[in-house]
Amino acid sequence: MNSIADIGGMHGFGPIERDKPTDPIFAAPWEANTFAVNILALAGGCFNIDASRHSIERMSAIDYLSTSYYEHWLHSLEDVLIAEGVFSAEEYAQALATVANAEEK
Amino acid sequence: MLPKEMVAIAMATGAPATREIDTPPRFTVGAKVKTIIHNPTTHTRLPRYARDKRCSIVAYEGAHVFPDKHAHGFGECPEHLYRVRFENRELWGEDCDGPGAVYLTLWESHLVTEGE
Repeated sequence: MNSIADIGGMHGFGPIERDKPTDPIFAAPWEANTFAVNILALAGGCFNIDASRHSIERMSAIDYLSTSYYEHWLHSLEDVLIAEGVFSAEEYAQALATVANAEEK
Repeated sequence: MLPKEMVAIAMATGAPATREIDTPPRFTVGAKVKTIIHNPTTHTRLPRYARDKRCSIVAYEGAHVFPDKHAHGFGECPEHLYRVRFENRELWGEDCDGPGAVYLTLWESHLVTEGE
């Protein structure tokens, strides 16, 4: 699809900022968790990598450009697992609320 | 399902997308070809800037799972994969920054014989 992810040849984004070799692979623990759960779900056959990439392409342009690389992964993970029926949107929202409540206490 | 002892290996090398298929490759190395023009709302590995452009076959990469189909529940639909070379001027016209080239790996469905 002609999505914002197909950015090749576009002007105006400035130079690419590269990580230094000494930078940590994951900037925060949630990034490592997102990576791990994504790979586990892939290895477990919940979805395939091409469906995951297409899910990222379907993000709205504003969301895509204002979120980080692993936020794209998290978006596709939630989107595809709900689409595949691994859990429902309601179950996911409930689980998030439970975690938020536990953290407040 | 990936066995536990394979996890470290799979992380290091990735899971191969190469597959055996019965049909011979349609293009040979050195062939002058052209990319198709399409604008599907579904997944495609052919970027917009490289559609309807002349290029040449640089290498044959074997048959691979075809993401354009695989992303949408049609199964792996493996196809022959080629490394192709686009000259800068073909992609960017007079605004290109001089001689040079862009290389992409594209599936057989993305390519036609020049003049087709």
